[in-house]
Parts: sequence; C-alpha cells; structure tokens
Amino acid sequence: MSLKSNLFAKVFAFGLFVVFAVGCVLTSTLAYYLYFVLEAYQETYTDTSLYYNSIYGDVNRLDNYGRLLQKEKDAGLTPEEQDEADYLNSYFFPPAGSNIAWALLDADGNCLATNTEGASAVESVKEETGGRFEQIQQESAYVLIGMKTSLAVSDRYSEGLADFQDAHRWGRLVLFGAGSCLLLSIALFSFLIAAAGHKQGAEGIALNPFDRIWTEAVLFGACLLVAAGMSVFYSRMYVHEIIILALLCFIGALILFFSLIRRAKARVLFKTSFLCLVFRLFRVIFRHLRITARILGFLIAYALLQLLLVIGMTAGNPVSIFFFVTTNVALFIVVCLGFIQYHHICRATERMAAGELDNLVDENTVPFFHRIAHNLNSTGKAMTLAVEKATQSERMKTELITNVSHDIKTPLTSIISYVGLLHTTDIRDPKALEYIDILDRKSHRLGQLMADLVDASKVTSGNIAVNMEVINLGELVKQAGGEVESRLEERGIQMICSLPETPVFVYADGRHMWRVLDNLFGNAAKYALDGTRVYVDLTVIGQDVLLSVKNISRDALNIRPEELMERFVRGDASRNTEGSGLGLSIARSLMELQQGTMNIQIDGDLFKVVLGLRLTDPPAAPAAPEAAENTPAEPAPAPDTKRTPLNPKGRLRKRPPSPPAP
Amino acid sequence: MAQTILVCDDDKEIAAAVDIYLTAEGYRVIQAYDGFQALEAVQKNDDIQLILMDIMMPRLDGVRATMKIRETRNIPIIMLSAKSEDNDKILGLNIGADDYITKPFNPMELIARVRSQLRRYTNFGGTPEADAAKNPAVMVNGGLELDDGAKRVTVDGQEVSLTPVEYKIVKFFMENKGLVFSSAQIYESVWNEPSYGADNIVAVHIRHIREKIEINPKEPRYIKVIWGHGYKMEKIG
Repeated sequence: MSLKSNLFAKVFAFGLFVVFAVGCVLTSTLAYYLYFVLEAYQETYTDTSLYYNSIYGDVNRLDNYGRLLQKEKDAGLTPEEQDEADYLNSYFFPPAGSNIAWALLDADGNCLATNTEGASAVESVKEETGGRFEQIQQESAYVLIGMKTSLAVSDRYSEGLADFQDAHRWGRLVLFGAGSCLLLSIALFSFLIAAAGHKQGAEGIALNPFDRIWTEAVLFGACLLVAAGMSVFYSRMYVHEIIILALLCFIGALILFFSLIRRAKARVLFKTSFLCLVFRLFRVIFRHLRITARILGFLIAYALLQLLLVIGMTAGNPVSIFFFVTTNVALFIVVCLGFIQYHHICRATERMAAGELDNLVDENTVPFFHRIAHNLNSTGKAMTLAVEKATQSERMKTELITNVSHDIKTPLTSIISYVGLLHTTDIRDPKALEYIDILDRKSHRLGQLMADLVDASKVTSGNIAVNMEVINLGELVKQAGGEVESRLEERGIQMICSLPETPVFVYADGRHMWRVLDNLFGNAAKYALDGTRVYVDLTVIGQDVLLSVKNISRDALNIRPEELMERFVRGDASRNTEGSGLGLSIARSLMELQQGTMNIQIDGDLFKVVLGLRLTDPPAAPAAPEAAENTPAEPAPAPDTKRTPLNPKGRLRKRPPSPPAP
Repeated sequence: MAQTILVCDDDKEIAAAVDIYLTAEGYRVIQAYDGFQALEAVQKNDDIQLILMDIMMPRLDGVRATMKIRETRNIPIIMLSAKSEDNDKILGLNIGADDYITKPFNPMELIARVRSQLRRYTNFGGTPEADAAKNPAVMVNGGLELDDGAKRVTVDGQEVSLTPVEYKIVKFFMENKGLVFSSAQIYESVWNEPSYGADNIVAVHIRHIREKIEINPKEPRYIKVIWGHGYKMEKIG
C-alpha cells in the first residue's frame, strides 16, 4: 500500500518500465534477425534443394569444367580454353581440399571427373554427403554435387556454419533476454496500473487536474502519440533522433494512458468525457422541456422576424429598416436590464451571506426577478425573526437565572447568618461543631456557585457591559499576579512571569481581563501540582499579543481541551474540589466578548492556556481614565485611531530574557 | 449610650439575624419589614443613626424608601440586597445610599461596614479633619488617616500596623489622591530606583495593604485597582 502511494517508487518503476520495454523491443528484433534468418541458413545447410542456390555458381562452373574435359578428350583445347581448364582444375582441386563433394558424369554414367576418392564416384559422393546431394542434368553432363557431412576445410561454407552455430547459440540468449524483458515490463506495467491514482496521505483514488480533461481528448491524444511514434520509424532521420522522438511519443502516450486508468479506477471515465457533458446537457434540456421550448420558440420567431426585416431592407423598404433598428435596440436594452437586475440580486445575496437581513432588495427595482427578490426578502425576514427569538430566549434564560439566583440568595443569606450565629452559641459537642463547620463551608460554596452561574449565563449570552479601552496587558498581568500570589503560595506554587520590557497595549476591558486571569490563576492554584511553577509568558508576534499560562496538573487530564471549556466540566471529573467548573467557560466567553481568543492545549500533564489579543497603539494621554470601579470607564478610543502611530515605542518587539527552555 | 440602627428586610429571619449580630456588638436595633415600616420607624425614632435597607421589599421598596428618608435625614444608609449587578449598586449609591452590601453577606464584614459608617457619621466635622487642619503632617481621606509625624495609619480610628514599605506606599497614595499610577511608577517613587523586569512586588504589597486597611479587600474603598493601568487612592468626602 505504501509502495503504491510512494511517488518515488512509481517514477522509478515508470523509468524501469520504459527501459525494459525498449529493451524488449530491441532484443526481440535482434532475436528475430538472429534466429529466424539463420534458421533459413540451417535449412540451406540441411536441405540441398535450397542449398542449390548457394552452390549454383559451382554447378555452372562444374558444367563448364565438364564441357572442357570432354572437348579435351574429343578435340583438344585452344590455348585460351586450356587456361580456363587449368584455372577450373585448380579451383576444384584446391590443395587444402574442399567441403563440396562432386562428380561429373557423362551421358552414359561414366565418371568424367570427381574430387572424391573411391571406386565409384556416385557412391563416394553419396557417402560423403550423407545422401544429400543433387543430381543435375546439364548441357554437357550430369553433375552430382553435395555438401560433405563434415566441413573440415576452412572456407566460406565452414565459416557460414560456424556463424550459424554462434548465432543459433546467441539467438537463444537474446530470445531469453527478450522474454525476461517482456515479463519484467509486464510486471512493472501491472504495478503501475495498480498504483495509478494512489497518493501519499490521500484516501482512495486521487485525481489530478489533468484527469478532468475530456476522456475522448485524452484517448485521441494517446492514439495520436502512438501513431506519431510509429511513423517516426519510417522517417528519414538519424537513428538517435528517431529513438528519442519515438520514446517521447510513447512516454507521452503512457502518461495519457495512466490518466485513463486512474479515471477507470475512480469510476469517472465516463463522467469526464465530452459525451457525458453532452448527455447531461441534453438531459437538463429535456427535463425542462417547457422552458427550452419557450426559448427555442422565441429564438425562431426572432430569427424569422429578422429574416423578414433583412429581406425587406434589401428591397429598400424604410419601414423594415425602422423595425430592424428598434427591435434590436429593444432586445439590447432588455438583455442589459436583465443582467443589471441579476447583478442586483447577486449583491443582495452577498449582503445576506454577510449577515445583513433587512431590506435586502427592493422588489420594484428587479421586475424580471420579482419572485426571487420576494423570496429573498421573506427569507431575510424569517431569519431576522429567528435571530431575534434566539436572542430573546437567551436573554430570558439569563433573566430567569438571575431572578432564581436572587430568590435562592435570600434564604441562603439566612442560612449563612444563622450558621454564623450557631458558632457564637454555647455548643461543646465536637461533632456538632464539625457539622456546623461543614454547613458553613458548603453554604459559602453555594453562594459562590450561584454567583458563577449568574456570571456564566450573562457572559455567554453577551448580556454584560464591555468597556473596551486601551490597557497595558503587562501591567495587568503584574497586578493579577500580585492578587493571586498568596493563593498560589499556600500550595507552594511559584509564578514565573516573562513580560516584554516595553508596555504591551491591547484594546480590551480591564475588569474582564482581570476576571479571565483570575480564573486562570485560580485554576492553577486549585489544580496545579503542589510545589510546581506556573509560567506566564506575554509575547508579541507581529500584531498578535499572546499570553500563555502553563502549569502541571495534579490529576491526570484525561479530557479533551474543548470539553474543559464546556460549562460544568472539570479536569478531575470527580468534582471533589472547590470550584464550579464554570471558570474556563466564563474566561473564554469573556475573551470572545473582547474580540480575543482563548485556546487550551493539553500535553500530558502540561496544561496550557493561550489568550490571544490584537496589539494596539498606546493611548493618546498617558494617564489612565479617571474611572472608578463602579462607573463606566472612559469612552474607548475610536477604532480608526488605532493605526495612528502616536508612540512607535509601543510597537517594540523586544523580548524579555526568555525562561529556560523546558 | 448604645447607637440605634434600623434594620429593614422583608425576610424576618434575616432581619432577626442582623439584629442578633448587631446587638451582640452593643448596638440597639429596630426591625422593619417593608419600606413603609422603615419610614414610620425613622419618623418615630429620632435617634436612629444608621439604616440597613433591603431593596426588594413588598409595598415600598428600599430604593424609594431611601429616597424618601434622604429628603429629611442624612444618616448613613447601607443597602443590603441580593441584587449583585453593577447597575443595582450604582443605582443604590446614586440615590443616596452610603454603602452597598450584597447578599449573602459575611456577618463580620457587615459589622465592620456598619462600624465604619457610624464612626464617620458621628465624627463628621469632628476630630480627624480638625487634626489635619492643625497638623500639616496628618493626611485624611474618608476614614483613613495618616500621621506622617507619628508614622501612624488609622482606619476609622483604629490603628493598622504597616511595614515601612507599605507605609511609604500608603503615604505616596495619600499625597496623590485620585490619580492612577502604574506599578512601575509606584516602584520608582517608593523605592527611589528604576523599575525593571516583570515582578509583581508592587501588586503584592498593595494587596497586603488592602487586606489591612479595607473591610473587604475584594471590594476596596480606598486603594482601587484600575486593571491594566495601575492603582489609585479613591478620593472620599
């Protein structure tokens, strides 16, 4: 599976395949020449009827020789004939001997001449050639001729035989090579087919943009490339040019072929074809036959009208000219209006997507698309209503919780007060005192839970005032650290802050940010392992301000970070420590209300919260607003002043000496 | 001579509990269970010196009762309510209440606030300001008094023991009432050396000071935290 999706393996296999395929073609060609051509040679050697061709010249010479011998015997020879006879004599009786056995017989069967040694020439020839000889009637005499069974003498026949035997041997090897090349290329090819479309890290068959080209085009291209590759062999070019061109053509064809394979595997061979496109087009048209027919009718009517008008115009009819111009101008205007109104509708849908739901589009301005506009507006209204209802229900929920909490707080006040009074009474029973302590603790816990519940409800419904202003986050971290220091110290937890040297100004609500940090540090105080450290790092990366709080959890965090931010979920899941399980939920909602982010990362026992805010420019006046806790804070600077660089120092990205790397 | 306190709450048990706590502290307590009863009690008893007023009550609620009482009397009124929203607190303080305690309350805190209000009310125009006029080394802010000559800090007449650094910080704030200072500024003024680094030493000291001079350090009256900016001494009176 992994090999199939390994790109390197596939490219390697492709290369090997090309090499083996070329090797197969070359070796089989060679084998063809070696084996089948030399097979004929073997035939020549073994079958004298074919052998005749190769010793034809000898037969003629023998005939000539026989004629001369008879003439010498009958009438003597001229000097020229004598020279020829001498030459033939030396030719047929070479000192080294010959591989051909022959005999010349006259019409009566008497031996004129022979190169065999034996009583009967005919018998000798028969014996030396192993019975495979020719008896040919020539002008002068009978010629008996044949190859000797052993080609002892080195001449063109024995060399031919040696060549043949060599070729025969090599031919086998080459044929074997061709066969193995064929097998290997088939194996590689099947691997490539099996691997086609498998991609690292992707499920199923991966298609690339190339596979979206119409199937027919690819098929045609592949055929064209194959044809081109074939035709290259018949061109008048250098061999290396032919080979390179043919290779390129065939490789291209293969690439196209594999595209088809991928499609077949992904079952989109038809879907990506032009035929399918046409088919679908027709299906759509046929499904909406009425609309199609209407448009077709209109087009035909318009074309006929125009045709009539054009005919009229050629006849010089001024009315035709008038109507030709007016109809076309009218058509132009209608088309323009149609597109303009379409554009209006598009813009309206874009506004809708962006969240604007009221008065999306004036229905009177788009008479062509009146129905769409009407539906769009209705949808918008329905959605506005839904949003209003949701907001209202959220608000009612918050009100309900607030009211219920008031009603619970009143009896709770009595409980706490009277439990407190019990402490002042004269109770000596240690058990009773213990019970009173429990009541005291739990009633206070109940009060805290109620407060948290109201906060969580208000914060998540956004039913809380957010006074955004430019604050120094570094200062806030220091302040918050000072507030929680004793709580952490009780557990032997040390807080290590790393802040930039320059102030880090962010646009946020100081009290809400404090609440967030209080919750986070409070969590650290509650859930961190005793004697460990809490790392608080404030970093500025570009325009992002990141504040991370890291601690080692005491209990195993067998929970997902998202779950931790849900309401009423705590890391220990056993709910035996103090806390309402609302802290992180409240913190995240508060961060979101301030256009910030809060992410929780859990790595083993390392619990890390990262708060994200945007860096902003320092406030115009260095003094903080004269805002008491209970009065609304100074109006926040307008967002458009954010980018004016009042004090470029505030943007310094100097880092503090970073804490030791873990 | 016991000071008289009117406790007004429609929940009779709460009124009774507050009664017990305050009586134990030596105050005389009159109970009322709605706004009208509270008004009647105020009319009948001229010696009432402080009112604890619930907000949500039948017939006449605490807010309207307070407004009515404020027409004739300027005795301290402490709101005592289950409504813990900021808006409720602001409303209560705006219509004339002097303090606001949310239910469920800590009895000790309630007593401390009552005591503080009474001390301020009975001493109004009395000793501390007069002392300050006489002695330039004495600085006063509400119930907080700092005598630089004697190096003494008192809250509502009770001396608090501060470390030298804490004393310096309080003095610095008393000299600059109503102004906001960042940790670095406070450090540089009090320690007289430039501030480096990211330690929260100032914040820790200020928390300690608050624990000593505030009734409820989480809801400070004097030294307030302006989150993300710094700290300031609230100007009182």
